[in-house]
Amino acid sequence: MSEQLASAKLCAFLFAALACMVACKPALEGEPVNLEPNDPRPILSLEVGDSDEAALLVQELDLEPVRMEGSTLYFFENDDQLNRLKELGYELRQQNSYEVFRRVVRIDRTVPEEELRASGIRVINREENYLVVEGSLAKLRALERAGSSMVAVGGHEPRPRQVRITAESMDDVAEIGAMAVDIYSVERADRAKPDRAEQYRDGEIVVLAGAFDYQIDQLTAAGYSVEVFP
Amino acid sequence: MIERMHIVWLTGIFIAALAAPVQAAIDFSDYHTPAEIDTLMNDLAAAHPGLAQVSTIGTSHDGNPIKALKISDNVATDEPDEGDVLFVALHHAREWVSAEMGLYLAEQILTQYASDADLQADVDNLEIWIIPVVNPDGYAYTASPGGYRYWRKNRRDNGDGTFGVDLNRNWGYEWGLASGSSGTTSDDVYRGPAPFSEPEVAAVRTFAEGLDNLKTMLTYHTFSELFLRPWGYTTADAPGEETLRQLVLRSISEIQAVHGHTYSEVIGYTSSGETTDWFWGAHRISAFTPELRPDYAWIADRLDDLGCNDSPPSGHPDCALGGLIGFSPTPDQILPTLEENYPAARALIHDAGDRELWMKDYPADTGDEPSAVWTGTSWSHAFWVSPDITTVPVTLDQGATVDLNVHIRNNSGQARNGVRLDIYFTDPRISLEFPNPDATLIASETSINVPPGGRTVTVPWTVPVGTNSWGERHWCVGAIVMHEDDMPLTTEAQRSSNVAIRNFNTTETVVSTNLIVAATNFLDVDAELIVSVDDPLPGWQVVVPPVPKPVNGGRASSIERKAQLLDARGRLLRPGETIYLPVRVVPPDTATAGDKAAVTVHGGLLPLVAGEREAVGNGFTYEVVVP
Repeated sequence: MSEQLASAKLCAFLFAALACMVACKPALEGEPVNLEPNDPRPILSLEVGDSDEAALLVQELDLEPVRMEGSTLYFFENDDQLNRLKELGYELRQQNSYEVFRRVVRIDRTVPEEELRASGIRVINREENYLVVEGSLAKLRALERAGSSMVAVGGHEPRPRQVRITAESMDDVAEIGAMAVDIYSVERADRAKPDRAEQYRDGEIVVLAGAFDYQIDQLTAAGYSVEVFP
Repeated sequence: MIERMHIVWLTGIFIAALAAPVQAAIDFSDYHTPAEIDTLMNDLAAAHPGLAQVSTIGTSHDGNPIKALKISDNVATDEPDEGDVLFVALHHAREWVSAEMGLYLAEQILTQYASDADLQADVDNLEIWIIPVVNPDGYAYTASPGGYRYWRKNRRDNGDGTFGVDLNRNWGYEWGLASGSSGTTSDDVYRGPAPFSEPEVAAVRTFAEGLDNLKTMLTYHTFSELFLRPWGYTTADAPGEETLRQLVLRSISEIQAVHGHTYSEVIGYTSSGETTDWFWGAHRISAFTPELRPDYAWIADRLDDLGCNDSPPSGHPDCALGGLIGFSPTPDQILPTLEENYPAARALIHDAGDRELWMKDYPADTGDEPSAVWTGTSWSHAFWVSPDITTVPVTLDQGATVDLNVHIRNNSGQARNGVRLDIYFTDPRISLEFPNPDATLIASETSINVPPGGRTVTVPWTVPVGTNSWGERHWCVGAIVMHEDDMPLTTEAQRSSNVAIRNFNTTETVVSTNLIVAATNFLDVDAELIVSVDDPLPGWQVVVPPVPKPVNGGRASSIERKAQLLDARGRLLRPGETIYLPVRVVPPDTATAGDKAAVTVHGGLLPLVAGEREAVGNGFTYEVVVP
């Protein structure tokens, strides 16, 4: 009897485990992600003082920028430009294309968000069965090697949530804007229609915006009330 | 009897036709597709062949043409002496009403040209350019079945699975600041990989820089009912804040007068790399962003109407749009939006085309703008010697109160009431503009009546005691004349007949043969300074010292690298930096004490930026006396 019971329990466990594998980790549908660099040309970087300098390098030397991050300008190496850049005093750094090029992908939820963030992956949006994340090719390849399933966003490019943020002052609005939230409208309670004014507290400001989940996290962490339109 | 009835009937039709307002041919009761907008632009040009012409100013990422409609008399001819006015719209793909605004402007100007003498005069005196769709790829995407109605950016393939750059964060002035734009490709305010990286933005920049005499520009957006001015990248006031603000307040008033909607002047957050900052920052061309209808209240009402706030909610699919619903106002909002924004645009066109109230910049000035141009080494005319700014007595004693006279000319043929005149003084510095934050207000007269021909306004001025900030008794007086029908569109005297300056020496000006020339970089970007001197009287020599190079402590600094990239040879000045150059005047051997000579110094400040580098600045004319 006990053997039968043990056997039944094992069967039940295996069944549950199988069911869980199917239900908890559905295969992501979509095109496979190309995790090779977009361009085979080597990439260099240099430091500029400001964006005007970057624009002048593009204009005067035909530098082909990959992107600018802070004061670092990444660009495709071109032998014709190297001497001139050195004459101008730039320190050129060879860059790893797998670190420079990035992808936005859909990824299964096997790795906790905290771990993703800690490894330099940005979680853009959370969907029911997957996350939309952005990371360098190197980091995404590491995730893939560790068993994560990922597909290209394809036609499912992440879109911001529609939110209503409550702010207390115009300084708050400036802070919200600085989070790169796409603000559509800023309305002070005292400019609302009289019949709507009662919906607000004195001095309250309503911000209508589009925000990705990572921005909503930032807003919430900063103490703002964020209502997502259903 | 029947014949008589026919005559009366036909006469009635004729009179009715004369009395009828000019009928707009374009139906603005619904949005137009991108293809329809193209067709309508061509139709307008075809219907007004002498006045309107369509051209392509560039192509988008996907190869779509970016089209401009030019409106002017002699439209097929480039008339460099005429001023230019630029209207652009639809940087952001989902902001469909803004494209309608471009079309509406064109249609109104063209259909009213024949019957509105004032408009005709302005159009004849200007070249007006309208670019209804800066972002054709994005616009097509919002209107295509497989696209997304609320797409904002262009359609650059970012190569990482995302698409699009925010074209209103890609302009090069203060591009890339963390505040107000994003380096993350998926964000809706993604600024792009580099300033001016987007062909759409580069095309408009190149086009604008190619215009002979651009005076003002508007870039239409939606929504929120705002009328914004630079700066976008910071909450600090831009140089010339008072001039810009007066233009905004008038525009808001013009809008409000049509349907009662009161647009606001403040947005509350920053946006770096945006359009108007570049026009004002790089070129001192006044530039504004009208954010069209609707406002928040309309959105709230709309969501109410859809039952989104019912309990339980209606579940209407548009409820999930939230604030996005403001980008697709119901078609009944289109025409009122266009109607209320037309007068503000019309007023700016009038400012640009007008020469009614003005002051001379130099004795032979006829009111043309610009009155002087930078030749590469000097100004074509000394425009800091306005004969319309004078004092009584002519000789200034420090501490004395004198009559300061400003002569306002009025070419309109009729009296102008309610004219405002602001008069300031400040240290004369190359790259000076009026108004500016360092200037001291002498007087602000706000209700002046100026009869045809002109009027001299006299105010008391107590001549400063002591020296200016570099030890000379040398001052610059600037006057700005404003009227609701004639506003200055820039702060630079040589480019606006509404602004005039004159430099004065007090009697105690040191009559030595050493002068100090000061230059301040009032721009927000690095610049090079070029100083030159007119030949004085025969036998006199003026020696400008070699431009001192900044001390190089090893690696070249950013400003030095920029100078090398541009082969700039002038003295380099960082934003806010002032330098003083000693200029030595050598009289001829035959000169005796008391001999005089006028020494005119020119200064041009050229920003170290990509694109066309336009000089700002001015100069001084000293009367040098042999000690």
